[in-house]
Amino acid sequence: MRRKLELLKLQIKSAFLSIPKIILGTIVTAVLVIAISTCIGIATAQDSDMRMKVAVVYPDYDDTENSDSADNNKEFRYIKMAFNYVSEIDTIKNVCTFEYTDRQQAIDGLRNNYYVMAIIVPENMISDIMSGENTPVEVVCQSEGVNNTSMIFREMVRAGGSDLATAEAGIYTFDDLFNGVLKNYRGLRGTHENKLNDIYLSYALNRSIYFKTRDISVKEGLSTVQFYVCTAIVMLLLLSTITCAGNMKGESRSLAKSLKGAGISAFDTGIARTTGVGIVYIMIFEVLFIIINVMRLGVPAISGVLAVSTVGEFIASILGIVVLVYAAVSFINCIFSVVDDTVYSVITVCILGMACMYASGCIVSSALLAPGVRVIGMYLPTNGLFTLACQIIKGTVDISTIMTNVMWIIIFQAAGALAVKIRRDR
Amino acid sequence: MKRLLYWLYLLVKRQLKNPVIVVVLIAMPVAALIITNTASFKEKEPVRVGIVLEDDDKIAIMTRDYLVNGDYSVQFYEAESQEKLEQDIMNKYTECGYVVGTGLKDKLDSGSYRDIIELIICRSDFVSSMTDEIFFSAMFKAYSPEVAVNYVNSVDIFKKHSEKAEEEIRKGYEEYISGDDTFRIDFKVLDGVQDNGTQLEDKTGEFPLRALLIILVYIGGLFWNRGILS
Repeated sequence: MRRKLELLKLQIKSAFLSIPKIILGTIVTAVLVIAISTCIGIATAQDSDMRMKVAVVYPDYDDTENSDSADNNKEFRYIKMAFNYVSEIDTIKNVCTFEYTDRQQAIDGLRNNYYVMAIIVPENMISDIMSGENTPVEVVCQSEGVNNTSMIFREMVRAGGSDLATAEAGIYTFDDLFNGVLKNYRGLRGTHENKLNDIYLSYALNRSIYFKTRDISVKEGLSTVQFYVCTAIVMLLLLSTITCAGNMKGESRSLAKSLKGAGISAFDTGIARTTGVGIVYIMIFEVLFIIINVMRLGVPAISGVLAVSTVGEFIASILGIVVLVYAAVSFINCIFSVVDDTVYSVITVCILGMACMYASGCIVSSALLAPGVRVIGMYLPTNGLFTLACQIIKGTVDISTIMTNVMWIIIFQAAGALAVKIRRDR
Repeated sequence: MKRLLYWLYLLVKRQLKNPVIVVVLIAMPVAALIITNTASFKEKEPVRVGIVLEDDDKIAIMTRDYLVNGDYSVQFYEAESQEKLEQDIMNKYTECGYVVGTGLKDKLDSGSYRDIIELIICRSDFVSSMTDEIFFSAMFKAYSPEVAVNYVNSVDIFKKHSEKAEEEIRKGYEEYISGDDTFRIDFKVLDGVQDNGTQLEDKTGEFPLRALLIILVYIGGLFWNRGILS
């Protein structure tokens, strides 16, 4: 036992000696991840290159010679107002931008993949709607490259069009009453139609209030930002392999023989190595967690991401971090033990980790994955890591998630030890 | 040249001594073969969305029928119970679900419709935003004639004609909603190619090979940097 404790002490000491390197490596990796995300964010915000471009074609539109007349066109102003309203809806805003152009430019843009879709608004659309003559709006898509994002956009356009058609059907039906059962009140037709129109609008304009969302994966659901923060945490933990590769690599043959001779099993060396590196990362993450929680007092916006509200939740999250980091380091240790080559181990951890993250729905929604991948993803360790990361930032750490990760720790340690034992005995 | 080939031979021999490399070299084509031949990995199964009705409300039933029989990029179905729906969502068999509470029509009539429908998700993101829009459009379609009927009933001078008016509204609404007289959108594909991409699962099951290669290059870069630094 004393020898085992001595080994553990040495591993911890070795890991602590690597703290500057680990911190520097973590910072460099984090900075790289943040820099790439920021660049993408800036590019998205400024140039919208990352979002789908949708062309809006209006027959009177002329952006080169007569822009004033286009702007002065009352119909075009209404169309623009409608699209401005639509483009402010969150789901639309995140996936596409509208550009007003003429038909030829839109078609050319579709051909050279600049636009993913063109909405061709018929001339006098607003007056047609008012008069009951409905010329259809044409939505032209590319013949190739229809992806899920454009599919979602198309479905939303269709749903919006259906809402308008439904309201129209109601108004037209009401209008017809003045030619039938209410023919004696024709003078009141305009007033009552306007009132009914307002009622239809009141039902359709704010659609989100009808729905109360309940997320059964965590207590109150994750926002998009929280989702990607959790993705970043798990990714950072897996990429930490690059930094701690020196501490994770297996012992030399002679040292392995000595350890075996001293009665220290492969399992003990694995535990000692994982604990050494794990303690350093646990410290880093705990300190960051505490600092960010303190910063919440001064920067309320952080509360949108980190939602720990009580002392109990805080303590549970602290415990969660310990398990999360230990499980991630155990995964890394297992790969290093099995592969037994530093370069290949790092590559294996990163590739396998990313593939597992993808299958577990940590990178894109699992709804968009093939059913087989979705089912497999549920039983991968990244699913447990991601769920725990989500619960840590939400302050909803539960015992079942902790136990799932503890089970993974045991599996990884056992698998790693088995690999080392086989190699030692060979 | 001979030296170079010999050097290459030694290099390959050294790599092949590592059993993991051998396993990976064998496992990769085997995995690719399994993925391409296993139905569930490339299955074009639509995204499923469950519906649970808590009572036999007229509008709720009509909404369900519109959704279940409609042609959408997701597949709506009626779940046996809320528990079963939650279980299916947890198991990723279903993407999300809607639980329509009791007295939908009464709540819509009274204007107290905040949170009348419960959306159950399990880490869902933008897909449920889309299904919200679809659900609302179906519910609005089902409820729309009631708005006109209620309006007629709310105006004193029209009240005496309410029975006949209701009959005309329902009949007229059906004709308008199923005809071509209301607003519509024509979806076309450039150069007139048949537009048959109506399912959300389209191209979703493909393994992200390019993404993995990018990650590989990224890791390679980090490794190279680490080598230089150390």
